[in-house]
Amino acid sequence: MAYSFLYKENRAYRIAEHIYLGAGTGYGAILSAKYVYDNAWTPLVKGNTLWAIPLLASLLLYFYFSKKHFWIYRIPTAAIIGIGTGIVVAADFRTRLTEQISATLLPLFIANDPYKSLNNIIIVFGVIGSLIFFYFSREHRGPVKGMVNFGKYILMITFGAAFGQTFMARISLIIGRIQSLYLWPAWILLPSAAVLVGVAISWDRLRQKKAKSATEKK
Amino acid sequence: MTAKKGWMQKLATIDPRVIFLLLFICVGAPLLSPVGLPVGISPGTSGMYKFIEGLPSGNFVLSAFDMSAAVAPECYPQVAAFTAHLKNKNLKIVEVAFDSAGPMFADQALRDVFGASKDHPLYGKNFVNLGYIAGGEAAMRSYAANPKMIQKDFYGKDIKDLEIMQPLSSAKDFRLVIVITGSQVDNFVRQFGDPYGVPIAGAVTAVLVTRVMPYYPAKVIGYLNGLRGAAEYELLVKRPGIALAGMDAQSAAHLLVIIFIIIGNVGYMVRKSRRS
Repeated sequence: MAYSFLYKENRAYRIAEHIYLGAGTGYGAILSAKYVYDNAWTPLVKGNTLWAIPLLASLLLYFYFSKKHFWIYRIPTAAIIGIGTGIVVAADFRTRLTEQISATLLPLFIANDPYKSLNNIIIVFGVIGSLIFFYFSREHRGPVKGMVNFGKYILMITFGAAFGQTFMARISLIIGRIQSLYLWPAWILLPSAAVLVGVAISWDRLRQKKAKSATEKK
Repeated sequence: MTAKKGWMQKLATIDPRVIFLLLFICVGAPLLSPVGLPVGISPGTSGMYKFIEGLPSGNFVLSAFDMSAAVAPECYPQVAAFTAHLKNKNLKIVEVAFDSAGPMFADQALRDVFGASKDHPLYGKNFVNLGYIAGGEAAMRSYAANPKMIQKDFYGKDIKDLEIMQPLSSAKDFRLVIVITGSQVDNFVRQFGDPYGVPIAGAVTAVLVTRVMPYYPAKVIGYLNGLRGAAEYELLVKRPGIALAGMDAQSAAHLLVIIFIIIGNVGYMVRKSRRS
């Protein structure tokens, strides 16, 4: 039913979409509630009163629905954003900045290893070229232009690789879905889904036809 | 000349639904009658396999499920393959999820590999499914600091009663963290790899591989590249499954798209030369 979207937008597709969203959201909500119940509520009722603080703080989030007291909602939100940012930024500075820079400082020529030397040259000049490509304060002329062009090709190859990987991922998803349809009881549902899709598309066409003839009459 | 032009125009304005249909045939036909094209082992896969192979039995491995149901066709075959390897090596498996769909797949992997999950006699001794921990990266940080931070496992069993959990005091006690994800591995490198020095391995979707590669091999010791990575791992652990069965279909679909790209480019160049 979901794949019928590839033919055209129809009711069967929308039914499948809503079922998926509803089931996913419901499952996630139940698991989240279970997590809070097991790890915060249960210790609280057993006497660990400290858990009352985060539980009450989380309840403040419901002031989002109050026009008058909306400002209260901002307090837990600010805490969530502040803690979240602090946790990520402090660690990320090391993981994705300083250590990546130091990993790029590579020797350009390694004796008896031309493959590694070439690899290092591509990494070093590729990074520099890509960075200069995004430097807009001066016109790219002379030797800088050469570096910019090299960086541009490196970026294009990167995008190409990312696209190729994305395509491979999407095909894997189709393969997975088709494989799951071979299994019992999925394959027996195929005729029912085909009928539903057929009915939905015919229904949509009929409605479009009616709407068209009504407009023509006017 | 006129006939040629018509053909080119037809190709340029081809209905996408025709391409979808051809793609569906290319994927479906090899699944029904497999050809058995050879599958090579990539360095990322062999890196992960060799690392696990080198772990002494009884060591702790964390399987972190940060995957949603949408990426299951790619990630689940990977999970089944490496969990079988962990079982064969007699390693202690701690499964935890940072996405609400994760525990479901963690449970499925235990049932597929061990034959049962919570009812297995070794449950709580050799493997455990801790369930979902809400809170994203903040939860990862808390879990890395204290793996016993939660009160109950996915099935409602008290953590204090699970033998496998007793020696764990921080992420340092794990010899490997395997991240199963379709979103990012950066958060695991930030919260597990860098602060605790735990090696990270990725069981990731193909889309994510270009983001994992900057960490390989220094911080991420190996990674499985989508369904292909799963197929390679199935080969290595001698456990042919659905990933290996899907490789012919994957190759056929790629071939079809390569043909379309060539046709598209030839058409573009012919039209360009005619205009000029």
